[in-house]
Amino acid sequence: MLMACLTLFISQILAQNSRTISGKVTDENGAAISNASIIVKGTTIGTTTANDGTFTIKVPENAKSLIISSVNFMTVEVSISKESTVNVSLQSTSANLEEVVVVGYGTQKKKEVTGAVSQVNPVNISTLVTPSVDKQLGGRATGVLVTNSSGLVNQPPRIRIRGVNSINGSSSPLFVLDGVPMESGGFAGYTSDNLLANINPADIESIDVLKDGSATAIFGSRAANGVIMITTKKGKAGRLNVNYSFIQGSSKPSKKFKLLNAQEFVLITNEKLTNAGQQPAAFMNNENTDTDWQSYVYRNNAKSINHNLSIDGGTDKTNFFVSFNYSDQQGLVFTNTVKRYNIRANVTQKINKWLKLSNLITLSRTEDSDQNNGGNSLSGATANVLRALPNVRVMNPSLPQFSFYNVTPDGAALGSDANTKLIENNYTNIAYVMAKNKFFSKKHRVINNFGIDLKPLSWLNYSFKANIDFITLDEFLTYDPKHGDGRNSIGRVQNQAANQMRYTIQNFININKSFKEHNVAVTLGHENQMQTSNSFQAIGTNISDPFFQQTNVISNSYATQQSSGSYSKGPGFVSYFGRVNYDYAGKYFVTASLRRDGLSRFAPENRFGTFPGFSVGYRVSQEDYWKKSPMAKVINEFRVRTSWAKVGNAEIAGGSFPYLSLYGSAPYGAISGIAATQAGNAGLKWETNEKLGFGFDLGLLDNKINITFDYYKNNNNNLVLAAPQPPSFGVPGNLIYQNIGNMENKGIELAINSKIINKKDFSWDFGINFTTQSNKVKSLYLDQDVIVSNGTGNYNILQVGQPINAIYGYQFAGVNSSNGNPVYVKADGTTLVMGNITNSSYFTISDLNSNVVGAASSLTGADRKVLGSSLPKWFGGITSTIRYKQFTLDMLWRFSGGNKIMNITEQESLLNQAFMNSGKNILKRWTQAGDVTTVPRLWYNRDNFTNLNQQAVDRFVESGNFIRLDNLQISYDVESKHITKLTNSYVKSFRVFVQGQNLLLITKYTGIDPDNIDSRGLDYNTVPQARSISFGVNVGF
Amino acid sequence: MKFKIFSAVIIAGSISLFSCQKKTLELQPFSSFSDQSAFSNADRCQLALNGVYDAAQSGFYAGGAVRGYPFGAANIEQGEMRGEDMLNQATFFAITYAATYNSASPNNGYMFQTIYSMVNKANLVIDGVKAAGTGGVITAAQALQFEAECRFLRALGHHELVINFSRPFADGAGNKMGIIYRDFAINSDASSAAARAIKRSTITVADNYTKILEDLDFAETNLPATQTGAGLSTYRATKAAAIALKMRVKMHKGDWAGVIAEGAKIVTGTAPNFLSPIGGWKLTAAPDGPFANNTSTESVFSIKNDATDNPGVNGALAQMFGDPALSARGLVRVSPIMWSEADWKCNDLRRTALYRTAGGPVNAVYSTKFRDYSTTSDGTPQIRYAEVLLMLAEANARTSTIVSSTAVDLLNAVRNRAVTTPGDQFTLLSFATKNDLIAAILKERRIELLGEGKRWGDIHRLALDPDFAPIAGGGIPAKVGTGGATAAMFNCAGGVTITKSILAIPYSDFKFVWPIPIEETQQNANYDQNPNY
Repeated sequence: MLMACLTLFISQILAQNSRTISGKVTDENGAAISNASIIVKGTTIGTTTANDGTFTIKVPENAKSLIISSVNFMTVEVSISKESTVNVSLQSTSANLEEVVVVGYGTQKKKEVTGAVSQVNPVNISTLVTPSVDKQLGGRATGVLVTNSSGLVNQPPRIRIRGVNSINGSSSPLFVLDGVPMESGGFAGYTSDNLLANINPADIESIDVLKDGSATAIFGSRAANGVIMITTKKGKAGRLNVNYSFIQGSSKPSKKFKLLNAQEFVLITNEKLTNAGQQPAAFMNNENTDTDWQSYVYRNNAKSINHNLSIDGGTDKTNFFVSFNYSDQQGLVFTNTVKRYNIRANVTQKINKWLKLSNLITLSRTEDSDQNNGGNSLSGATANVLRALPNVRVMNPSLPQFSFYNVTPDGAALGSDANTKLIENNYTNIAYVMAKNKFFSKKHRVINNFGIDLKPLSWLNYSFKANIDFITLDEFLTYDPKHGDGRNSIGRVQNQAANQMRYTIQNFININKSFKEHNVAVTLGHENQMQTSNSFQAIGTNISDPFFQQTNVISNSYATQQSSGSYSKGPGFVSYFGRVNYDYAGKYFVTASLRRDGLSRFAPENRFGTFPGFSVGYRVSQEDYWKKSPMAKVINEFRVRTSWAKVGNAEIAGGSFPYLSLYGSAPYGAISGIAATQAGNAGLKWETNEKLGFGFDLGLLDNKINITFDYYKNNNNNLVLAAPQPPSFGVPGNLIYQNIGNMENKGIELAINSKIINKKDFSWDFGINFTTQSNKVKSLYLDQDVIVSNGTGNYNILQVGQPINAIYGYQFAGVNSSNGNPVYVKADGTTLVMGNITNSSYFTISDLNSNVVGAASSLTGADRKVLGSSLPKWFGGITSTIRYKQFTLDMLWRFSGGNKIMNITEQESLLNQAFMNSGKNILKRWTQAGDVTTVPRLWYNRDNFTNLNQQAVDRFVESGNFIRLDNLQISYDVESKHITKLTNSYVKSFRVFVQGQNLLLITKYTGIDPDNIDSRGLDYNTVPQARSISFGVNVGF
Repeated sequence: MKFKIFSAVIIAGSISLFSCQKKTLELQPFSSFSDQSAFSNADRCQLALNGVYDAAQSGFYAGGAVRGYPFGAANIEQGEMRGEDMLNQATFFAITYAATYNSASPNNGYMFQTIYSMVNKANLVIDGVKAAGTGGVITAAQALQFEAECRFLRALGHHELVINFSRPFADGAGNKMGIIYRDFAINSDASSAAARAIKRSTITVADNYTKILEDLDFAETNLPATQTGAGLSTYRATKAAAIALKMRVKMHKGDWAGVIAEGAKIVTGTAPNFLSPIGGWKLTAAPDGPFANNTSTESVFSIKNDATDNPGVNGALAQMFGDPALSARGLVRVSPIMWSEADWKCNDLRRTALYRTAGGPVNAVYSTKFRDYSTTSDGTPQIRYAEVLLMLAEANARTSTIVSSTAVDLLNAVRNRAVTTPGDQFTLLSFATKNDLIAAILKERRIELLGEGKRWGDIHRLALDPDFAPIAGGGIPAKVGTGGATAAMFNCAGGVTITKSILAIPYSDFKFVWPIPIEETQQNANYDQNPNY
């Protein structure tokens, strides 16, 4: 019976007479509009346009008209009584102001937005060779500073929106995926890892960056650092789309370290020794070995491959989008890779006129592989390669017990060949370590977002969202027993398993109602969030045989076993929020929002914080007087807006319970114990961030040129400061968390986008964005300076009146040309002291090159001063898209500067005074009276004295200014009519492209890369940046 | 209809969400106790006390690494590297070895920090156990014993500080600037403010010695003779350990009568079989006894390490001092200055039982006192009975007007278990003057305690000694350059030329004492910096 009905139904459809209509959709200037939606009115029959704007559709004989729509264009209805060809020119909606912007718990049209929001076009990112979208946000929007601090593929970038807005808490923005706050950063323990890599860049529909108080205030306590809203693609009603894309690329280091060759090493090293009264110890071996250790650590052809298949479509009731993604990207270090398997499935189902269900899900598996990257680890990939002796062989055929690698007979260090001294500190044979040790993590993640939308009235919508973000981690690490990090413990294996579950529940209503010229939108809601995580680890050392070190800990294969674990619940959030948008006649706009957040990190009496935000906008160009004035011919769009908000930062210092005084485990050997781990402060409360902004938007010459200007000022008050206690108090961690501290960020943002040429076959879009940021610490605990430690040294300071983490150190006056000693300037700014390398003592001298030694003196901690800001003071990007017929040339330049970099790599590694290799700059050392140089006389093992290691010296502090050609892409779209003809309509569109990333870097910085710095402006033995060439194809079916 | 559904959903949703607000916000940690419950029962009081010992064993070094600061291993390594008898092989300890430290260098800085961190934990536990004692959670006797253990560690910590950051007692009879003695717990704004008010400039070295001895007197009175539990008499403080530490403190003070008075409590019996009536401490038969067995009869007080908790490959003594051929790192070796010391007889059993040589002609000498290379569980000896006997010998030799036979007996008790050739052994007649005997005792300290971190203490206390200063006028002796030992410098019979490219630092030089770390002076103007740092 059922079969019969179905057959009947299908035959009826087939029996209907149909005809074919083809055509092209263009904009006012004749440029093709791709992906425009074409629907036969009153039916579910539809299609979308190809890249060249063309379409073909079969319509029922009785069809009357087509509805043609596209984002940013006015929707039109075209009558099709007889026509077989329909060419439509769509009118773009006024400037980009009709564009939809995703804001917290809703969307707004851009013209209604009175806050500062930047949009990043994800299309440009989806074709890049990149493990994650966040790494590519730099230079694309004002106010957003992105630093990828090394060439490791799985390391998350550092993103700062409108400055650094916390001293000890987090300064990273909140990521919101499809309306729900999402975990970012990394989750693995044994490798670098980036949680944003679980979002396939090709699945992203839009990226909106909320920057000012008004835009972010609805996120209350989580808004201090800005919000990045990522929205994934949903299916569109109309024809089924199948898209496949493939990208393959190859990367190499954009620059390598310039190290001494073997001959130079022998010369320099023996000079270090003999100057210090020791015998020469470096000699060429009988093979005249000259090893380039960098070629054993860094890849010259790091491959990447990316397959992406997506299917989307829908009817007026059901929309779906499904994508499959596989990507495998190698990092620049041989052992560094990230592999990703992603499935994204979004379904929306209208049950009836007022009920809609949706479910958005990401299933993802990530495999990260890494190595020891420790900046001062003996087997740290970069730390080691900078020091490995070039005059010794990598392999030694007489050492089968070490797989023929060249190590000392006892396995303690790199082999010494003809040298009569061992490499300093027993640095290892890094090639052996890379071949044997493994760092691996597997991560599975499910992000599921289930939603119910009820629309009982045309102006009222209720949404319910239940979101889980579940991550499970499984890691493995092994150290070879014979050489490297595992030698001392006779081999090491360890596994770690961890789980994290976060759930978020949202209930909110959106009301949209207009009364004549008055338009009101109200959002009211509630959100709850909680997370739990646990981990446990099993460690075995003293392994019976390397056979048991392959993939997992194996019971009873090791003599010493250890375990560890942890569990945490929280932080928990409970939030209530509301927002009112009001506008009158599309001219005057007002937004007010309020959020009240409760956070488990505080004592019960201080748990709740209230975060208000206001903004107003005035669209001057809508006024009649403007429209009538001659101005309107030039400035067709003019809008001013201003905003104020007080938001917070929930990611404060001190973990989950900074208000409690705690005792944690403190075993004395194998005897259990507990000890004070934290001195609490029950009065701790919210860190607040007052954001003030002013801006205007201009549309010139009929929107050929769009200008957006913003001024911003963030005042961060009551910062939760790890208030430093003098070490002699013995307080755990030398700190007590206090709401003391105030910091200000201010600057301007300017974005200019223009369609310089916009013809049918030729167009040129050009954009420039520019941001300044000025950061100033305004108050601190007792207003005392805080010398900031990075764990190995003290290079930075927090000082009232200076930017956060300013570089702080000694002033170098030069090298005394008569004796090769370093000379410094004392605190008074005039007294010169010379460090006598011979006996590590200081004397005053009258002038830099004087050979007359004055009184005994010293260089003390008080002789240091602020040497510069570690934060860029300005940055931005330049974009250009030139299209000629089927060819498109895209370009992105990124620039940044005004900051100083402390080049510790040069200080500690490349100019070391030990029995280790050095950088080429050491050849400039002082050797005889009269030499004028900045590199003092060599003296074996006097590094700490000649280079003042572990402290900043302006000798190693350089400008971080740069401009970089981040991306250059040439693509070719095969004309739709050709491709459809060629493939008998099976293929709708076909695009090929070739691109280069990081092709050119213009900078005076002498280190490896001005991006290779940590948040305090320190360059410390990091992996070089990649330069990539890739090609790809997109095929639409 | 649809309104009903709508309302129902809203109401149901809201109710469920309001009800879970409590669950979401009222969380407690799972990995830590709150401070109120840390002393709530007897077992937790004991755990908290163990935590103070842990602070002695494994304070945190830069970035959170455990390297055996302050007493787990680091004080031995630093104590040796400040002196000349051990050789720094690589850059690892170069700052201390070549005296290029400043107020920001980590080795001296973290010694300061971790000692004070231990002291505050001790003070917190003193408050905790006193309250627990008053409240009946533990007995009054237990409370006193726990307090005594804390005060023993507090005294040990402050003494380490005073000999590193202040001038010796001998300089002006202790009238030089001391270190700040922390004797109350700091855990709140109020106690922090009280601590902040204390000025270093008002405190002398003599004040420090008074407080150290007060603590040790209390410890001696209230500590048990033995601790129950395997090996715990070595790894926890006992009455004999407090007395022995008092001997050391009084020796640094130059109070020789005091050393003798304390020594009388723990050294009885007839030579060479000296014995402590308290705790039963005595020398082991063989010189490597206390190293073969970390809880031997000679190990009066040591810090415990275990395979699961130790200073690791970057701190453990076995790793730092041991021979690379035995999977160690060998970064600190025996200097030719000591190895080629003719007074250290070639056939001295210690040369073979406690050291290894490498090379055909010897070009490297490694200590084997610490020998668990793979799991680095060796205890860190702080007080050995051999040191007790040598301190008592020196006190007797110094206070006697002639060559003290008691002193010779005490010296021989230690020396003769290693120097077994009768012709090489000392008798009363070996010494023409009492100063010859004192010199021999001081030399014996260097030999017997080599690689146990005691060298700096001697350089410090003897600096102004008219007869026995390590170098004329006092100061840090010249050293062999880092990694600069060659085979030509090693000969057990002496007679070799040793190049010392690291020059001596005279007592008058500001570098004789360590700088107060910058983190302290920056945050606490009342902790005066040592001059010229």
